[in-house]
Amino acid sequence: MQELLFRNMDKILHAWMLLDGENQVVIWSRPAAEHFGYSAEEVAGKPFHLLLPAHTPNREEYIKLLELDSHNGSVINHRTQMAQRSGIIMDVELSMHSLHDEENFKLITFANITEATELQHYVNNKMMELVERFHFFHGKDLTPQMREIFDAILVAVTSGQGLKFNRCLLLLVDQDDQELKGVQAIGPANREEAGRIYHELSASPPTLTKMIDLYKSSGNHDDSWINQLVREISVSLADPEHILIQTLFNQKYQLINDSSPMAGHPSFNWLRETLHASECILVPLLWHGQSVGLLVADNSVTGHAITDINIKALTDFAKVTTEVIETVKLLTKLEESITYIKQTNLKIKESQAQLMHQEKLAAKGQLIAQMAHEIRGPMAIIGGFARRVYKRIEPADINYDPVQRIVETVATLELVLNDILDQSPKADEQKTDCDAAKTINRVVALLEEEIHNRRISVNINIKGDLPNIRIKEHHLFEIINNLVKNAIEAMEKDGLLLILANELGNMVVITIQDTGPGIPQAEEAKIFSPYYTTKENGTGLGLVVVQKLVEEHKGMLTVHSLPGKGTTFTISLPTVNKQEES
Amino acid sequence: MSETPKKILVIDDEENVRELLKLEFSDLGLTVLTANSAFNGLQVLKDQKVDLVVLDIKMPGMDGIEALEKIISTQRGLPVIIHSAYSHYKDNYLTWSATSYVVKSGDLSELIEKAQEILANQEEE
Repeated sequence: MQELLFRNMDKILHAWMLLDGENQVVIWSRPAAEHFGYSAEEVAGKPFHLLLPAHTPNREEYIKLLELDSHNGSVINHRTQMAQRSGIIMDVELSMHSLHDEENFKLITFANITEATELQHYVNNKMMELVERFHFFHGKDLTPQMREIFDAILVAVTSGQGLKFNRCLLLLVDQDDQELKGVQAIGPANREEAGRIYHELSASPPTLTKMIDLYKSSGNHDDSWINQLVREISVSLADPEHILIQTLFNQKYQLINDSSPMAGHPSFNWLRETLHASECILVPLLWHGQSVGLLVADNSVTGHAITDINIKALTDFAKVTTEVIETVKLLTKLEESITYIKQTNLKIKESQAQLMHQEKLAAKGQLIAQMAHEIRGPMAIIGGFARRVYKRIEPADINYDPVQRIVETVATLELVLNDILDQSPKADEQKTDCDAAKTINRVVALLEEEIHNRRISVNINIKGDLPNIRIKEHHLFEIINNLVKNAIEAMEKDGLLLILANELGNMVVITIQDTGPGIPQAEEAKIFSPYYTTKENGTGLGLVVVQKLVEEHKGMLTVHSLPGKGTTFTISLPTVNKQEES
Repeated sequence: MSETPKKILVIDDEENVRELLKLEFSDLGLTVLTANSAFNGLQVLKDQKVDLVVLDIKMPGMDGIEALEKIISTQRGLPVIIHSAYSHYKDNYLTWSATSYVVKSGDLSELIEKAQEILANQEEE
C-alpha cells in the first residue's frame, strides 16, 4: 500500500525533492530531474542552495530562513527563482513541509511558473502601452492588440521552457452566437517548417518577450495554415456530445489519444482528422467557475508523447491565460466606453459652444431691448408735451413749425424703437416645453396642507410616458394650480380629487375632477367671466387666466358639471414632438 | 351724463408723465389724482372712490403688477389701464386681468381713447 503510494507520488506531486537535516538532497522525482537537468544520482548528497541562482541573497541560509516563515511546519506557494543545469533561471512556486522523525526531513514540491510570470509581465507591459495609446488615438481598434496578446499566449505554450508543445490552438466561447469558435493558433504546418522556426528560436535567448518578437518578425501568421484551420472550427454549445463542448462543460482537461474514453466517437475522429494529430490535449479555460474557452495543444510535429508534466504545466498555464483573456476583454470594453465618453464629451463641448454663442447673441439683444425701452419712456414725455403745445398754437405762430418738427421727429424715433424691439429677441420668447406629470405632482405637493386639512383623497393617474407639452412651466403650473385649487375649495371634508393625464393624438389631456356641489346650470356660462366668484376672498380671475392661457397655447378647455355630484375640468394642450413632426 | 366729473388716478414714478397726463385728462373734464408710487396709489384708493386707474409697471418699490393684483382684490370691478414703456409685460398673464394695456408713446391718442371708452361704458351701466 505504502509502496503503491510512493510509486505514484510523481503523478500527485510532480516535481518534488526530499532534504535531510543538513538541507542536502536525499531523493528527487523524475519531473524534478526534467526541470533542472540533473539526474537523481547527480544531486544526491548535494546542498539545496546549489539549485538557487548565484545572486540569491543569503543563498546558503535560504531553507533556514524559509523555515522561519513556516506555519505548522509548512510554507505554501513561496515564489522564488531557481537555476537549471544550463544556467537558465526559472520562476518557481515552491511549498515546503517539515517531516519530523528521528531526523528532520523536508519535502519540497515546486512548479515552474516561468511562462506564467513572464506572460503576466508581458501583458502588464502591453496593458500599459495600450493605456498610453488611449491618450493619443482614441477610438483605435483594439483587435490588433488582442491578437498580439493571444500570440503571446500561444508562443508561451509552444516555445516556453516548461510547456514546449509543438502547436497550440485557442478557442473561445462566443456568447452571442452560443458557439465555441477557433480564434488563433500557432504551429508549423509540417516538419520542415518546424525545423526552420525552431532552429531560429532555439538559437536565441529563451525569454518570452524575445520569442514573441522573433515570432512577430518572422512574418504575418494570420493566413498561416494553422490559423486558417483554427478559424474554421466552430461548434455549437448546444451539442454536449461533442468532445470539445464536453471538455468545456466538464471543466477538466482531456487527453485525446487511442486510450481515451471518447475514442471512436464521431467528434473524436473529427478532431484527430482536423488536427492531423494522433494525440492532443484539451484544457478548458475557466473564469470564476465559467468556461470561457479551450486551449488545444499537441506534439504532432515531433511526435513526442504528452507527459504528465506537460499536462500539469499546461493546466497551470491555462489559469493565467484565462486571466489574461478576461482582462483583455474588460480592457476592450473599457476602451469602448472611453471612446463613447470621449465622443459624448465632444458633443457636449460643441453644443456648449453653440449655446454660449446663442447666449451671447441673446444677451446683446436683451441689452438693446433694454436700452430701447429706457429711451421710449422719456421719448413719450417729449412727444406728449410737444403734441400738447402743437395742438394749442396757430399755424401762424413763429413756434408752430419748430414744434411740428419735434412732434414728427419723436414719432419717427418711436417707430425706429419699435423696429428695434420687434427684431431683438425677447428674453423668453422661446416657448419651452414641460412635463405635465411633473407639474401636476408639484401642484399637488404644494397644496398638500390644504388637502390634508380637508381630508381630501387625491388620486393621480398618469398614463405612461407623456410627451412634453409646448408651454412654459410656470404657465402650465398656473393652469393646473388654479383648477386644482378650485376643486379643493369646492369640496367639503372627505372629498375625492381625481387627476388624470393621458396622450390623445397630438394632445395631452388633463382632467381634474372633484366631488363638490357642482355648478348650477344657470351659473355655468358665467364662470369664465372676469370677477365672477363664489369664494369669499376670490378675485374671480382664476378661470379667466386659465382660459386665456389655454387658448394662447392652442389648447382647449371644457367644463362638465353635475349638480350635487361634482365638476370636471378638461384641458388639452398640444405636445411638442407631434407638433415638430408635422 | 352724471353731474359729478369722473375721477381718474394716475400712478407713475415719473413726474413728467404725471404732469402730462394730468393736463391731458383735465382738458377732457376729468378730475385727475396722481400718485408717485404704487404704495401711495393704493393709499389714495383707500380714501377715495375713483373711476379709472392708469398704472405704470416699472416703478421702484412695489411694481405695477403687484399693485394691480391688490387693486383687483380690494376694488373689484375698478378698471385699470396699464401704461408702460415696455410691451413685453403683455406676455405676463398677471397683466391680463387689467382692462387694457397701452404702450407709452408721444402720441397719447390711444390712451385717451381707451380711457374714454371705459368711462363711457361705466355710464351706460
